Amino acid sequence: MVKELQELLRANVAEAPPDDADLATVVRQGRARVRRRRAGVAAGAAGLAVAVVAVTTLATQLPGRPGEDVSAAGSAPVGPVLRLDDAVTAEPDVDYRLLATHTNVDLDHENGQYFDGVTTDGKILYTDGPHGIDPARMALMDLLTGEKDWLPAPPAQPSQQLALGADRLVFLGQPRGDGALTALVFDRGSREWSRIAWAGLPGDELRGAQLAPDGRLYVGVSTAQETSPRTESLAPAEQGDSSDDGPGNPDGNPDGDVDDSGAVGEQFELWSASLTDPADVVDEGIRVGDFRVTEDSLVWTDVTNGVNHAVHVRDLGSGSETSFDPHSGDRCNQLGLGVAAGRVVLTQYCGDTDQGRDDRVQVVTMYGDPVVTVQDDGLDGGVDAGGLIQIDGYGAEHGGTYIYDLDSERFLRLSSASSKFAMGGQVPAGYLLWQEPVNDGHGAVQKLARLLR
Amino acid sequence: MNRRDEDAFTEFAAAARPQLRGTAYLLCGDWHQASDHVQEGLIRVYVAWPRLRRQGSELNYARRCVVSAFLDSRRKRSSRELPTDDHERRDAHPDLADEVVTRESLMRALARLPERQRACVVLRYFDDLSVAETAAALGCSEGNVKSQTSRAIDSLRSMFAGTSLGELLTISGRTGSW
Repeated sequence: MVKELQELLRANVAEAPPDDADLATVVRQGRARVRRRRAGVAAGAAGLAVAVVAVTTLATQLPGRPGEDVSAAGSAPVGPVLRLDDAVTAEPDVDYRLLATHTNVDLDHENGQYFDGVTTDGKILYTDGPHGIDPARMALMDLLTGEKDWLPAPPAQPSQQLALGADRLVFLGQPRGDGALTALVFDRGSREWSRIAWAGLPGDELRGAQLAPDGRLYVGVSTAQETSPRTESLAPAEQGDSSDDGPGNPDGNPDGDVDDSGAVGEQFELWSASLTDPADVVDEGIRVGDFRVTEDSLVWTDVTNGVNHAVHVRDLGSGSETSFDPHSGDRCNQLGLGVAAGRVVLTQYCGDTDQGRDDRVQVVTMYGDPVVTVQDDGLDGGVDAGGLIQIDGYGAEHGGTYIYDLDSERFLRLSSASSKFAMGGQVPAGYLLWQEPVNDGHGAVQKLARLLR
Repeated sequence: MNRRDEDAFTEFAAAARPQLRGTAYLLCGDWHQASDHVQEGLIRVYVAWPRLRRQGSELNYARRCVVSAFLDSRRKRSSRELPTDDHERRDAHPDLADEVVTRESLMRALARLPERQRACVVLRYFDDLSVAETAAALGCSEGNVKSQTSRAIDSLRSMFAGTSLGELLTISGRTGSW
């Protein structure tokens, strides 16, 4: 008797053993990965630093000074604290000038077109799709005329943006067949794509890829013992509790969030690579959590996705190095790092309280002195090249987009609702790109503006 | 992700898991490892869920994530293993052609295929995907899927020459669309 191959394959799985997997673990690890990715994307917008004046007003001074042992005080923020309620509603043409908008009415129904960022010479990176199995198309859109210059198809699907420059666009690519990290470069002069692969760098399990001002790509590479997603940092109590979480209640607590604060954290080896020479791959010789490279400094945390007690600053000119404890607290998981305007911006998740999540954007000087901490239930933040901290509030009470301007000390609320869709990308200093829900949340309108200073 | 989206994801994951588990098992030949690949695949789906729902292709994406997790795991493992020759391994089992056509023998034969060829067979014949859908799931061209599938069937045929499964594969080869 001849069976169909299809039937035989199906017969092989027909008597599967019981599935004892725990969907709560999937959700928990998914959340942890989203938090890391959010932080990484936000930090990816950081670039050149500019001078600022100190922040002294608006905020409420709370007890605690740098240098004090704050462990006894738990995880209370050190220094001035702002809540999202403290933000002032931004006024068009007073606080910002709207440059362009783009609406997708029903993204629940089908994929759409997006503003995916702005180049340093003011062109909108406009993306269409992907639609089904058709890859996304990219165009550069003129802000004034709306005319789109469609780019030739890239040799592979781009992933993370690395640079949207006046002369070139740089993206990470998908890992090559042998796992090597790849990047895609579009030369805007010749209108040609090129692809570079570094055989010495694995293309997966990376952290915080950044194209630094020196033109080199910096990446954190997982060490062998930390490459498995099963080894993601979880508080011991949480690991023990996981078997109690059924799929019907994946969160394990009433407010729908898993408190995995106070985690052990992860470290990565810092490597750099040339965008023009695939053989030029350098082990920078340090282990990092999150990191940023600016014109004159390399800044990194000890760990990411866990409790962090040290920030290190290396002067790239002299090679001298200083370190400080940001006093983030012993419950705060370090999630993201930005450096701009002479400030270090740390994003953190510090567990749950009776009032909800304790999420923070902590700003300190390059010496660890507290500047301000924005703290509330459900927020994410990152700093741009000009010192604008953009904060997405996604909690039920304070949903919307906020900015804190390190230069002027203004804390503004740009929108009063948060879209469930993740959009946008890198923008130059002074630009704002955010989205608001439309059509009962099924779609979203993106808004591009310039901050008026 | 808000609570409503997360509930939707959990509902989807619970419904899709048995099918994904079957795909993963046929790829790796071990139920425990299959569970690991499905778990990693579903975590990737969770991360992409807000954007994914717009495309209305959750299961295709999830399948792609599971296959990718399997291929990633093989890549990591293969870097620590000494390469072996496929023909040598086939010769080491001279009795294979005489084995009764059972589930176990098919699994052993699948295990001898290179990962991408195996993935083509599983996606085309177990998940019933078209050439285009298989190419999308594997992130390669349709031509690549056709050639990989063709090579896979040829290899299976040679392993099962003279058996009823070999006959089956001949028939499948004639009627298949690769």
